[in-house]
Amino acid sequence: MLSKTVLVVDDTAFMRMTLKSMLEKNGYEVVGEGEDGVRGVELFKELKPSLVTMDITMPNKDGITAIKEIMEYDPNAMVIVVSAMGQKSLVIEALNAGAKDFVVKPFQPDRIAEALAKLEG
Amino acid sequence: MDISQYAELFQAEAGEYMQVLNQCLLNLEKNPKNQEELHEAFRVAHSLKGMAGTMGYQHVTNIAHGLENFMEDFKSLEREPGPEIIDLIFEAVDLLQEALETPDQSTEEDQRKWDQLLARMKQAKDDGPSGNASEEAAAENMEDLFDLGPMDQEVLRQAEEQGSNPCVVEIELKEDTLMKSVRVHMIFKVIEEFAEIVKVVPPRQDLEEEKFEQSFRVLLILEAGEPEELKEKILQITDVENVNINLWNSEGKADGSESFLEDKDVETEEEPGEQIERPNETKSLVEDKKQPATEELDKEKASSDNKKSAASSGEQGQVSKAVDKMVRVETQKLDDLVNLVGEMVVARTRITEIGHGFNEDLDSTIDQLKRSITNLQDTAMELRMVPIDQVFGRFPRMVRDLCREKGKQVQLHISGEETELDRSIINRLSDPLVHLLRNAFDHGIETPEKRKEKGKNPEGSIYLNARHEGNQVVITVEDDGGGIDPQKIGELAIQRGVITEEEKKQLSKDDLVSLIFFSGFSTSEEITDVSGRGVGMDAVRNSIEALHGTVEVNSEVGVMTRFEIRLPLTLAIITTLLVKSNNQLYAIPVEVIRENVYLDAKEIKSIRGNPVVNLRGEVIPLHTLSSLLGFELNEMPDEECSVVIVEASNRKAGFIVDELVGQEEIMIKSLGSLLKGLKGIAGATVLGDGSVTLIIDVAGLLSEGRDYVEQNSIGG
Repeated sequence: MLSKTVLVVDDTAFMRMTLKSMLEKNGYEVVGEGEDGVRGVELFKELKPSLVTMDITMPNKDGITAIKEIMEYDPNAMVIVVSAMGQKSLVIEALNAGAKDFVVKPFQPDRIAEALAKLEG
Repeated sequence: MDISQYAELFQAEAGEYMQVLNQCLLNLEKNPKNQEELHEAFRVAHSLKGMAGTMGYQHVTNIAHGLENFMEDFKSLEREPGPEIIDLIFEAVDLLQEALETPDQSTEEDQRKWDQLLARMKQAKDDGPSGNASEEAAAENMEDLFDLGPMDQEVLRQAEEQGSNPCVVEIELKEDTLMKSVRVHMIFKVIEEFAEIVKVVPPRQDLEEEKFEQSFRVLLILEAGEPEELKEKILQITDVENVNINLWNSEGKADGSESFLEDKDVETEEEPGEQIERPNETKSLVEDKKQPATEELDKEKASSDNKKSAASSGEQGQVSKAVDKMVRVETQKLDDLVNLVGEMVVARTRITEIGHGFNEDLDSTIDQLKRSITNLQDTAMELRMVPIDQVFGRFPRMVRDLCREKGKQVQLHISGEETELDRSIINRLSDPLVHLLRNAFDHGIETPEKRKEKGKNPEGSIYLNARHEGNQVVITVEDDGGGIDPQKIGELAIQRGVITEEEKKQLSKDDLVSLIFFSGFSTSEEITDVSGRGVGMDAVRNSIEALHGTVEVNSEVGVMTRFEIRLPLTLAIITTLLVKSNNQLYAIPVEVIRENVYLDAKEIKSIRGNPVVNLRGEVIPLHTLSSLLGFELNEMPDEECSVVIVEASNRKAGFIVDELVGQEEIMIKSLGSLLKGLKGIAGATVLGDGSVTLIIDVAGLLSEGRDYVEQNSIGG
């Protein structure tokens, strides 16, 4: 993977910022930030990032619907679900919808790095 | 993401956990059958391990891990931990405590100590009578491990006939994996691509409910690809620590019990935190037998883990109610808050004075403000209150250790541990209480033989009680030991030059016993041997008085000794009487004031040149306040004067003042390092009008000179 571009989709600016800095530390380039599922899908089609981090609970369009739409658009899309504690069934749903992995908030930076590395490998 | 900012939180929480751990072990020692205590201790060790691991405290993590393993064996072997086992656990807990003191650094010495203990723990585990029982249990479990029904066995048999490979896959997740069940889900998705799953241990239901620790096993029939490939794929999944695939063969079941014996040694050599390759399938079986027994424990653990992570992340999720209602706050912030409230209290007093009578609206607003500030003050004070259990909690362990060490039998009875007290007082209460308890143990309670001779229960009792009494907290330490002999104390006091022969005759029994609080009494070690009491009692008194408290002793020879400590609820804001002496304003804490009287100059008498007054039959020495502070000579006024009768450390005195100004709540401010330790001055405060006033430390003033003896020799 030459250009490690990432699209961060999350409804809170704080999470987007945290994820962005964490990703950038790991050598990724955050090319877009979406604040809800609608924007997330739009940006995915526009930017074609190599990786998407997707929050589940968001206004307008939730992450699971967004993942389904993204997978429909590009079956090879790499989507990582970002979930809060206690959203187990939603995470499973997201994985079934085609997400490749998940990370749990609050983040453990090394786990994220590891998840990213495994996805690439 | 700097973890070091959590170090304080870690320490605070670890401290609480250590106390719980000690308590559990004490209970377990009393009742070794109590599996619940073991569960709890196990859970706490596990939590500590997790916390320390997150902080990167390797040594702490190792010890907690070893402790956890050790205890787990007793849990799963259903073997009652004997006293020698509990001692070992205690030792490990001590090492853990030590390690926690400097968690970010451990010396080779620390490591060596731990290694030695670990070796002894292994030894104890192997020596135990558990051997046979566990082997039998294991042998039974071997067959039941996957508990294959006839259908499953048929499936396996057919698979073997067809040359496909039944395998046992052991998967281990990382220790602090979040949402384990979802990881499990991902793992099964991968497995299902390769194989047909025959059986899962623990059952899938449990895995989904996260009722497992880190590892689980899957018996499967590989339908596509090689075991290596499956392993690779599973390892691809985030949070998977380790994957082991072993071929299943029916012979493994047959000769399992034998190889189990060998494998047992392998297992016990496992270093904490170290991953070992499972040598073969039977080995895995041994591990597995623990699963059903620890199930309940895992449930507890899972829920507590959830609570913890949920609380720290502030996520809603499965936050339990109790956690939801609690917030950890830096103590400094609380202190600041109380400080600010204190300023407001002062301003309140002032604004009431200024604003009164200007206009009705202002009056009612001020009134409202006053009420709010009073409520705010109460709430702020409550925030600082912590149960005294924080201090008491460590004593059972201390007494237990002393019992072991000195061969005495002493039962510590604690009551009122829920009594709340200002945090700043609690922190400084520990040392004097330890002192009193040690004294009660060392010198109060007799040896079991002596007690039997006297017809007492060979087991001595120490009663530690705390309770609220008005605006004070009363703590008593009472033992049913030999008591303090007033005559012996008196003789020693004479030897030590604390009192004269003459004075001794004048003193009552109680007064004689109270002499143990005198500083001349406690400097020498040998006194303990003679009198049985006295070491550091003046230190106890000093620390209690520094907390604006009092300590009294009461004893009956041969029956009991009781120390009673009285403390104010808080130190930050005190109610004082403002007085004027020599044109200077002073604040006297109301706790030490017994009464205010007006004396006619004629009532002031003189004994041996010292002015006194006979107040309802009690002779009390008189001083002008200003003279006590060294501003003038102690000259008695020649007209009617106001006298404040105070009492501290068993001494009474009358302070002659020019004027009683009034009662006021004030906020104690320290005098700063330059004037710190000034005898007779407890601090200063800023009054509502901005003027600075000194707060009188009555106990300090009275301990100056020999007022006590003078007073008593006169009074007796």
